[in-house]
Amino acid sequence: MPGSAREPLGTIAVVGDGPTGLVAAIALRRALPRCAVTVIPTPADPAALADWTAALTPRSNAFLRQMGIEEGMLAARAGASLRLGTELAGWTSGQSRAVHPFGAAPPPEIAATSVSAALALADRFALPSDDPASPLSDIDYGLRLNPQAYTRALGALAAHLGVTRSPSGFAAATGDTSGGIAGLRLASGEDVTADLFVDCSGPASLVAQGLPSEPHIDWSRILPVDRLLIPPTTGAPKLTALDRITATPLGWRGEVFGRDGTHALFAASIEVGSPEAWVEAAGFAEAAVIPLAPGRRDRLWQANVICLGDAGVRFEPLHWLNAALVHAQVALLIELLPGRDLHPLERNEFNRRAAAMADRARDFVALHYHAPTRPEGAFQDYAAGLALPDTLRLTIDEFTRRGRLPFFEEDVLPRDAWVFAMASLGIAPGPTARSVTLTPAARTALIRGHEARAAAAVQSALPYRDWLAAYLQSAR
Amino acid sequence: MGRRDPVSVVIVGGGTAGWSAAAALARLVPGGADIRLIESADIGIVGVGEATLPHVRQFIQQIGIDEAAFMRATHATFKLGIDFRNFGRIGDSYIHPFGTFGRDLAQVPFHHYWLQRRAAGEEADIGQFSLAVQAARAGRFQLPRETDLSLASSYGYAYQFDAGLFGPYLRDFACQHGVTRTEGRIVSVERDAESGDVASVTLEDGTRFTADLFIDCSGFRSLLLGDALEEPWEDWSHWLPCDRAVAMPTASPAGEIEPYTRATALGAGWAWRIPLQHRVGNGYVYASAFIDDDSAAEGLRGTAEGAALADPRILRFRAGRRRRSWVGNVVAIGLASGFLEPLESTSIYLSHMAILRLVDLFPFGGISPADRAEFNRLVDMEYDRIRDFLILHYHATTRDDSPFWDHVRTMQVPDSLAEKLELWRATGRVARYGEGLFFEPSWVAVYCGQNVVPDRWDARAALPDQPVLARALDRLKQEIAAQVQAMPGHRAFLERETRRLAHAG
Ligand SMILES: Cc1cc2nc3c(=O)[nH]c(=O)nc-3n(C[C@H](O)[C@H](O)[C@H](O)COP(=O)(O)OP(=O)(O)OC[C@H]3O[C@@H](n4cnc5c(N)ncnc54)[C@H](O)[C@@H]3O)c2cc1C
Repeated sequence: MPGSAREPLGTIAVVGDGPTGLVAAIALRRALPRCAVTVIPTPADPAALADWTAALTPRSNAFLRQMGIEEGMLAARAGASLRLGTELAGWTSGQSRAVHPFGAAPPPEIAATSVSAALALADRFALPSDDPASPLSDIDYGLRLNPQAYTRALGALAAHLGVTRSPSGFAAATGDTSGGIAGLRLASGEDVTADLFVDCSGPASLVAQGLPSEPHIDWSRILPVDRLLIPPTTGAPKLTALDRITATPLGWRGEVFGRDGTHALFAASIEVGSPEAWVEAAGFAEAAVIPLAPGRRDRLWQANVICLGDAGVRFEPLHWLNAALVHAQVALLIELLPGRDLHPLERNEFNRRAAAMADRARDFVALHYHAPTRPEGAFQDYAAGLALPDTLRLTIDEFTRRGRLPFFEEDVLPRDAWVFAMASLGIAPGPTARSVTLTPAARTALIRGHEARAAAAVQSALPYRDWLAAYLQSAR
Repeated sequence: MGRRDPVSVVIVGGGTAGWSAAAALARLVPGGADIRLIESADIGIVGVGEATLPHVRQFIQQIGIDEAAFMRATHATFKLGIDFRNFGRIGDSYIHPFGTFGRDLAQVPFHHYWLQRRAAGEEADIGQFSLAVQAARAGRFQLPRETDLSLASSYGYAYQFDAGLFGPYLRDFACQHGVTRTEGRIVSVERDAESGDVASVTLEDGTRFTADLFIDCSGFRSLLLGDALEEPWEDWSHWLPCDRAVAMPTASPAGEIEPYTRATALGAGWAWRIPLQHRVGNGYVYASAFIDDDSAAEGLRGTAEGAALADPRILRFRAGRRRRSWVGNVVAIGLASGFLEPLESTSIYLSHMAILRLVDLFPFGGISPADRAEFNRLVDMEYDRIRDFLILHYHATTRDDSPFWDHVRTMQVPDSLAEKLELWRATGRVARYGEGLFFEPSWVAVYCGQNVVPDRWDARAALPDQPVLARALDRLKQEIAAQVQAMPGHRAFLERETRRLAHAG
C-alpha cells in the first residue's frame, strides 16, 4: 500500500486578534496557502500578557524572519527598536545592579563581562556578525515593539496573505460528542466550524472553555506574582540598549524603554501588600490591577483545540518571556502541522514538547527568586519560601556544585541565558575539570583575550542613539 | 576555584573502556587526578569492537590525539555508515549513513517529499538522496566539510579499527600523560564497613591499592560494580535475544576497501563485516536459544569472504545493564556497566559518553549523591533510547523463515518504541529529542530501509507542483552523483596520506 499525503487542514479558526492570534494565523496561512484561516476577534484583555509584552528575546528574530514578518517592516511600522539585554536592579541586595545580556557568555572558567554587556554598558550598539572570528559574533539582540502598532502591522500582513478577519466577534463555543469543539457562535449569530481551532483569546481561553474540563497545573506555589499593575499611559521614551527589572520590597517593576515610550508594569503578590501600597512602590500615578493565575493547561492541545499564549500558559512577564514562548510553540505547531485527520499521537508529541518549553520558561523565571542573597523585603521573603521545581533544583545544584548546566529538552532559553541569569543573581559556578586545572598563566591569557575581544567590539560599535537613527533611516 | 588536591583514581581493566578512561582523565583533568590502571594480561581483553560512530572522532580530538597517527596505529579505515542486508526482507539492502537525506523544504523534512514521489511510483530508494549512502555504495571517500550547509557537509564519518590495537595505542598515550600502569590480577575487593564503598583492591601478589574513586572497566566480569557491590542486572534479552558471537578475521580482498560496515541478517542473528587496512573482521551475533555454536561457526564460515586468518572464537554476553552505573565510589564504564549488541556500533560510544560525563561531574571535593544520580540519569537515558532503536531493526521485518525471526517479528516491543512506530505510521513523523544518539535521519533510514512506510505523511508534501518537485529531486540526485564522481576511491584516499597507513614505507 503506497499511502498518501494527508488531507490538509481546510479551515482553521483562530480565536483572538492580538499578536498571538495574528502570528499564529500568519504562520498557518504561510504553511498552508490554500487553507481558509479566519481570525475571530475577542475583546482586548489586558491580562493577555503574551499579547501585550513589549519586548522579545533573540530567539524570536529567526522565527519572525521565517514567518515573513520582516524586521524592517517592524521598524517602519511597529515602533521596533533593538535591545541587548536587561538590567537587574536590586535583585541580590538593595543596591545591586547587574546586566543580563543576550548573546554568548565569556569562557566559563573566568568571571568576566560578556561582549554584549560591554557594549550595553558603553551604551553602544552593533549588529551581530556571522564571522566567528569577529567579537561581534558574541552579541545578539531582541526586539522591542509598540504593542498596538505591532498588532496593526500584523493585522495588515495577515490580510495581505489572505487571512480572513471575521467582522463579528466571538460569542460562544459549542462542544461536540467526542470531547472536541463542534463550532463557534459569533456575536452576529452566525456559526463557524473549522477543522482546527486555535485559542489565542488570553486567560479567558474562550474556546477551551467549551471542552470537557482539563486539569490545570497550578504554579502559584512556584511563582509569586499573581497581580499586575499596568499604568494607563506609557512613560517618556528613552533610547538605550538595556531594559530594566527592579526589585522592590513589594514586588518588581519592569520597564521596556521603547522609542515610542517606556512600557512599565509592576508585578506583585496578593500575599504581600495592598493595591495602594503596590501603586506607591511602583511609582505609578495610577494603575489598573490585573489578576494573574500562574500555571498552564495540562495538555495545550486537546481534541481539535490548541491553546497558545495566555490561553494555555500564564506566568509573570519577568524578562518578557511570554511572547518568546508563543513563538516557540507556534514554530512547533508548524513543524508538527497536522492534517485534517488529527492524530492522538501527534497531539501527544506536541503536548510533550510544548509543555517542556513552558515548564522551562517557568523555571527560568523562578530561578530569580532563589539567589543566594536577597534584598530585604516582604515580597522577596515570600518568594524565597516558595517551592523549587525538581528540574530547577537540579539546574541550580549542578551549576553550583559542578559548574555545569544539565540539558533539558525544548529549553526556550539558550544555555548562555542561563549562565547570564546565574551570574546576574550571584550564583557562582562550581569547579569544573577545566577551571580546576587551568594554570594561572592560562587563566590570565583567557581573561586578556576576552577583554581584548570586548574592547574591540566596543570600538567598532556606534553610540546606541546614532546607531538607532541610522537603522530607522534605512528601514524607511 | 583554583587548584585542589588531586582525586586518587584506580581504573580496573585495560580494555578499550579502561584505557579510554585513563587517557581522557589524564588529558581533561590534568593534575586533578592521580590515575592508576590495573590490568591483567592473563585475563586479557574482549578483543572485539572495531566499528565506531562519528562521536569517536570528537573523543580522540578532545583528548588531543592526532587522527593520522591514530589511524596508522590501529590500521583504521573510514566508515560512512552500515549496510544492513536481509533485515526487512531477504534480498534487501540499505545503508544507515552518518548523514542526512535531501534537504528540508519550507520547514518540512525531506522524507515527506520523498514519500510523496514514491507513492507516485518514483524514487523507491531514499538512499539516492544521501551523499554518504551514494559515496559508500561507490566505495569512495572524502572528508566532509565542517560548517556550511552544502552537500559536502551533509555527512560525517567514523573509523573501523583493530580492537586489539586501540587499547595499546591509548595505553602508550595515557602513560605518556602521567597514568601509572600496574600489571596484575585482582583477587579481592575490600569494602569500607561503614559506607559500603570500595576501600581497596588487592592483587595476587598481595599488593593493595586504595583510591577515592574506582572506575570499573573490568569487562563482562564487572568485578567491582557487579561482583563486589552486587548491583542488580536489568535484563533485556527478551527484546534482544542474541547472547553469543563467533568472531573470525579474514584476509583483505584485493581492490577497493568498503568505507562502511556490513551487517547481514542470518537465520538466528546477523553477521558483521568490518574492513580494516590489513584484514577484515567478521562475526556472527546469534541467539543461543535458536542455534548451537557449531552451526553458528559454520554459518559464519559460509558468509565470511576471504581466507580465514584464525579459528572462530566464541564470546558470550547478555543484553541489558546494571541498574545503576555509579554506586558509592564505583563508576562502571564499558562492558562492566552493560551491553547492547554491536548492531549499530554503539558500545564504544557508550563508554566514551560515560567518560565525558564523568569528566563533567568529576568529584573534586568528594562524591555527592547528586553526582551519582545525575550520571545515572544520563547513562540510563542513552541506554534506553539506543535499546529501542536496536529493537526496531529486528522487529521491523516480514521475515518468517526461521523461529528467530518469527520471535522478534511478533514480540511485544517496549511501549516507548510502539508509540514511535505508531506515530511514524500515522504521520511520517519521528519523535524529536535533543539528547541521545540517534536523530531523525537515523530513524528514517531504518524505517524506510526496512519497509516501514507510513500510511500518511505531511500534507504539505502534496502542495508543490508535482512535476516541479520531481525535477528538483532529479537535480538533487544529479548533484549527489556528480559529487560522488569527484571523490577519490576509499583506498586511494587512505593511501594519499602515508601517515595514516600501517604498512607504509
Ligand atoms: C561480539 C562483540 C562485538 C562488538 N562489536 C563492537 C563494535 O563493532 N563497536 C563497538 O563500539 N563495540 C563493540 N563491542 C563492544 C566492545 O568490544 C567493548 O565496548 C569494548 O571492547 C570495551 O570493552 P571493555 O574495555 O569494557 O572490556 P574488556 O576489553 O573485556 O576489558 C576488561 C579488562 O579488565 C581486565 N580485568 C578483568 N578482570 C580483572 C582482574 N580480576 N584483575 C585485573 N584485571 C582484570 C582485563 O584484563 C581487561 O584488561 C562488541 C562486543 C562484542 C562482545
